[in-house]
Amino acid sequence: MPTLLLEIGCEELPASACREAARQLPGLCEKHLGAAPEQLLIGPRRLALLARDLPDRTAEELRRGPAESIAFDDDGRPTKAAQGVARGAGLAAGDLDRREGYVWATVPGVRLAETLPARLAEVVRGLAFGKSMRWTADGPRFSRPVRWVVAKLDDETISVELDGVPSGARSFGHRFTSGEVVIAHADSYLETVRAAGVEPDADERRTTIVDALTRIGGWSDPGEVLEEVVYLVESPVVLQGAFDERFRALPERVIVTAMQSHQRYFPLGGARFAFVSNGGDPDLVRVGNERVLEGRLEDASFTFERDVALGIDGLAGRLGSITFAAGAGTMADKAARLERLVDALGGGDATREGARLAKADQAAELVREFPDLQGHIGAEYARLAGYPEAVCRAVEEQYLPDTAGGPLPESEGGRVLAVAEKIDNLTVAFSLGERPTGTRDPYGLRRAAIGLCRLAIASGFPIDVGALVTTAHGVLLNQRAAVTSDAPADVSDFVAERLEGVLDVPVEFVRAARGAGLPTLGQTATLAEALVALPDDRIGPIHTAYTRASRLAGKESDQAAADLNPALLTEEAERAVAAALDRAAPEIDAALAEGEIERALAAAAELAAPLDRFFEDVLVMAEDTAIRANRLRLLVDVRETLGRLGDFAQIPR
Amino acid sequence: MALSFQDMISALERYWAGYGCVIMQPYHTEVGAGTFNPATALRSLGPRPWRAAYVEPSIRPTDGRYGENPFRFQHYYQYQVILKPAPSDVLDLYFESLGALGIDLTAHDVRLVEDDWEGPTLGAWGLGWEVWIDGMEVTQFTYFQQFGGLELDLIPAEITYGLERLAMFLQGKRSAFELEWAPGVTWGDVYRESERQWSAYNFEYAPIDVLSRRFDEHEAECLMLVDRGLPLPAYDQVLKSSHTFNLLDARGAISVTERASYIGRVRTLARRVAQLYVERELGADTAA
Repeated sequence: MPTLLLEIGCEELPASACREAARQLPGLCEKHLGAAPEQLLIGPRRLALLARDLPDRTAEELRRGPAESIAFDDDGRPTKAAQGVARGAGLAAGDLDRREGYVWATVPGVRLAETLPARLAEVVRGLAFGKSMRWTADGPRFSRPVRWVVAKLDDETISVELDGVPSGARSFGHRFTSGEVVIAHADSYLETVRAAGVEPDADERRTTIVDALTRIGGWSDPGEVLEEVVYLVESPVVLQGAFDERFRALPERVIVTAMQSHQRYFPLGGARFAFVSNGGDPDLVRVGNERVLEGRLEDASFTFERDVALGIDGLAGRLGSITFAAGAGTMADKAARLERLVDALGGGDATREGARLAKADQAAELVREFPDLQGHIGAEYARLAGYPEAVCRAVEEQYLPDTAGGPLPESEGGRVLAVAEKIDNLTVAFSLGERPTGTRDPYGLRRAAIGLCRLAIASGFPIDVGALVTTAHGVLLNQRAAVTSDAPADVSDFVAERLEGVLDVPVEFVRAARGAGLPTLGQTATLAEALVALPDDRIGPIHTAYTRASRLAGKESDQAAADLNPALLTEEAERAVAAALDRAAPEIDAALAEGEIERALAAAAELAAPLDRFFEDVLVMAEDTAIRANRLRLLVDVRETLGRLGDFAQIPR
Repeated sequence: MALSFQDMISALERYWAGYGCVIMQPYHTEVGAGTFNPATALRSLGPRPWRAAYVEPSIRPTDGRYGENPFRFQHYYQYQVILKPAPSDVLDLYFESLGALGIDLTAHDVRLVEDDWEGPTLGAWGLGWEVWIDGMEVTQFTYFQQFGGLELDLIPAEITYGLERLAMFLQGKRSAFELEWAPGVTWGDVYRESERQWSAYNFEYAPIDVLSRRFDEHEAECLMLVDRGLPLPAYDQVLKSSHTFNLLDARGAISVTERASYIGRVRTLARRVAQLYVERELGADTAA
């Protein structure tokens, strides 16, 4: 079978576009060529594919024409209708078949090469990029301009019709060390472009880079730039460089960020780095790159020294002139709220000191240059000022976890401050009416809420969102912030809802546990886990008792008496339920207060049997309105008592 | 021997003049980048082809460092080339221009790194790259897609050379102050004192009240001129309001939320001017 090559020659594509193309090309080939490519060759200047098992000809196609009576006249001669059908299929009218009262045209398959120009153009046009552009008026859209297309079926050149983009056997090698190359045969493509200084295979380039880095040793890639670098070069050469030791006075992460985010270098530890060039004289290229990195570090040093001259306390003193959010005061106001929240969370002196200094680096010039290093830079400045490590760690870890799956704070102070930081952000945004909607969440509130859930679960830290929000809101009011006079009531729910995604528990059980209205996130999480772990024979009776009680009491609860009157309990079965309730209710409360969910569930289960009998023996909707109201009250009490363990109606059975 | 700063500019002028560009001079009011010069911003709009090249002083008040930091200035130079429509060999033309500066492209690591450009005050965006030579960003290259909120008919390519960085690369210097501007005269000799004084003005003495009032006045004047059908003078008021905003920003007089509102106001002006400019361009075409 013949080999097909398609090469889309582009101006330098971003790494993300290369990855999009790599994901889409197999499907596009299946759709338009009838087979997936055997090999994808993806790089910044060319998206290429080789396919080896394509059918030689397209399949025959059977088309149904009009009814025989319409296709042929009374004398059996083909009508215009029949001639039209035949012409459309490239046949003579005499070639039409007659079956089942209709005429049929069998369209023969054609050679693959004849259909490729149109079909390959469809493959190219089918690529869709997150960000695309035009480069000519009314021209196609692509991630960057397409400048040539090569298509070969073995040694046959296929011309692909793509809005004026030249197509033939002409390709290009390395942009500077090579020039035009002619692809003689699809099977010789790799050899030809490699000879022209281009490695078209992303996997090969990655292997070359990683092998070379490994030979050097000690490399790291905390910013994950390797996957971008693979798509920045066609001819990777790994080189090493070094910078002046004096720059190591800078916080290490500042150096690493300058190397990685700005320059796509790989730190080698100490004052050394590795980088990947796309060619050139290694000595010249190394010297140039060293000069650039030192320039960046020199620039950062200027900024760093100005900040350090002010010191962390000097920076903190400037927070009064930095707005945190319009209507919610300054960064100094925010720091004051954090201190109050730390107190409410039972944080110690070091953590309160951390709260006072938490936002100081927002006044630092270095944070303006390296915004991702907020918190870290503050911690470094606190260390330089001689603050205890517990204070510095709290400042450092306040933003953790900063992604849904990112690491949690490790220090006690970090955990407390991280909770306070997130509670404050949520309180301020909700109090200003800035709730996230749909995909709009500019303040990262969902991430903050997920962070709170993870902090509660992982650290067992008691986080009573409602109470903390009330505290923060109270401070906001004292600070005369332009917020609603009532604390936003929906933050607790907004946060607890995130438990559904964070816990590895079916959502119905999380919803049931949320229905218990337990004060802290951790208790809700533990309850959800306990409910899902409960065997059927234990949850069953509680579930039945709860749902039966709430079904009856729910409908008629407005008729229930305000309080249970023991004197009106006429039947033995209802007295038994009341007695069981008297025992169970305080036991459940006590158990929950001590976090003993198992014990609470066991107490709840004691209500099941008396309630069963109650429903058999007692008519709730009695004629006597006082008795009826009393019985309804009894059921409401049962529902409320069991409801402390969750809204069992959420759990499907 | 590497080119001096002024010889580098002459070489670029010769190269782009040879290609058929109109060689223009810097615009007469402050702009943050050569893109804002009407020779790029307005000429990108409408159906007429256009090729121009010029030096543009880039005025960015917040970037000043009193002449103390050899990498940050409130005033530096760009060399701006605008080719509308973008020829299909535009990248080759650019690389040849580096050759004209004496750069051996096979001896260095020259590459294009994704850089999507957005000018929020102009309602403009485009896709392109930063051009790195041995890790130094020396040029921004952009295919404009939109200006003043309007889709462009003819896609222009914009090439913006950062002249100080390019000269640092060419001359192998670690500080812009040490660049040779002319034989025996450094960049620092020419501009260091200017950086010190202008930083003082930008950060300490630019009068906030007066500037706030001026912003409103420029805005009103722009709209008045749009109503009179004069897009070119109206556009100058866009530039002046934009620069006034930059000064207020440097004075720390703008909070984060106010910032968005100021940018939105300038963008609205840019849109009005762009629409009027295009209407008149199309009208002129029909009349001819």
